[in-house]
Amino acid sequence: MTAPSPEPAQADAERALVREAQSGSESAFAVLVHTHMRRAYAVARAICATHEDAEDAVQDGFLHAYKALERFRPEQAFAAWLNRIVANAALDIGRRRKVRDADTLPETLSVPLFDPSERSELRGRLGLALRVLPDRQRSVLVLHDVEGYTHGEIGTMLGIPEGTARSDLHHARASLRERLRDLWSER
Amino acid sequence: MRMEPRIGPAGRDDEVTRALRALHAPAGGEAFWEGLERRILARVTNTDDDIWWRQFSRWRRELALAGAAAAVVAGFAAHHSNHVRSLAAYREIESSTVAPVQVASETEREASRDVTLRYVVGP
Repeated sequence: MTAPSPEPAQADAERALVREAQSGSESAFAVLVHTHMRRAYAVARAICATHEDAEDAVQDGFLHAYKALERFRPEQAFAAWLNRIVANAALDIGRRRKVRDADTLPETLSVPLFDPSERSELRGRLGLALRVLPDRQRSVLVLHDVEGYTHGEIGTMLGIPEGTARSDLHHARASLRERLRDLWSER
Repeated sequence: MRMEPRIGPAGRDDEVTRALRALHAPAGGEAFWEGLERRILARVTNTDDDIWWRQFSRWRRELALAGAAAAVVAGFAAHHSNHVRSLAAYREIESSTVAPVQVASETEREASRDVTLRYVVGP
């Protein structure tokens, strides 16, 4: 499964909206926000370690997109363009957080944020297993297995070669499989 | 299409995907999305005044109309100025006792006559 691409009629309507937004219509941009916000959040959440960072990344991403709207070419897919910007904002937040944590709170790197809503065993174990994955592997795994993006799309979003995305996915799955092995054997 | 084994054993991948999706879903349901949308639009609106080209876009129609009006005024002024100059030239010709063209042609004619006379009476 890949990211959904709009039907031709929808694509035309979206291009018209983008053109309106480019000529300064805030209401047209509001419709674009409403349409793409959830997908943008999913991309940001796959990259950011926390929900709060993902939310900041989505807001930053839309703001960057709004400022750069003049440079967007309508023949491009708006969703792909926006998701690249949001992914970049999420990576940026992750980098800033790492620097901040390294300077001030080194212990936060080894203390996973435990979500009390993780009631099911599988979810709880998955959550813990995800936290020990390297950031990029976790992002690739979620973007591919949960959000359905292709290796190529993930590579473009994260700024890595497609082969690296493929290899990250393989390693992430192997790592999770290993950590959850006993869970499966118990059943 | 070849399906690469994922995380769980055969038949368990959907369960894993569901768990992963639940882990990454925001809490709060629709209220969260409405709040997020509001926050995004508030940030965009607050920054709108800083974007000069957005201001330009907003005033584009007015600027185009002003430009067109300025062009019409400039064209009329140029036309009027030509008309005034041309009128002044005509008045100068009309008020003059000897027409400049006639003076010029007569001078030329006289010079030519002189040359012929000098040739005839000359040594």
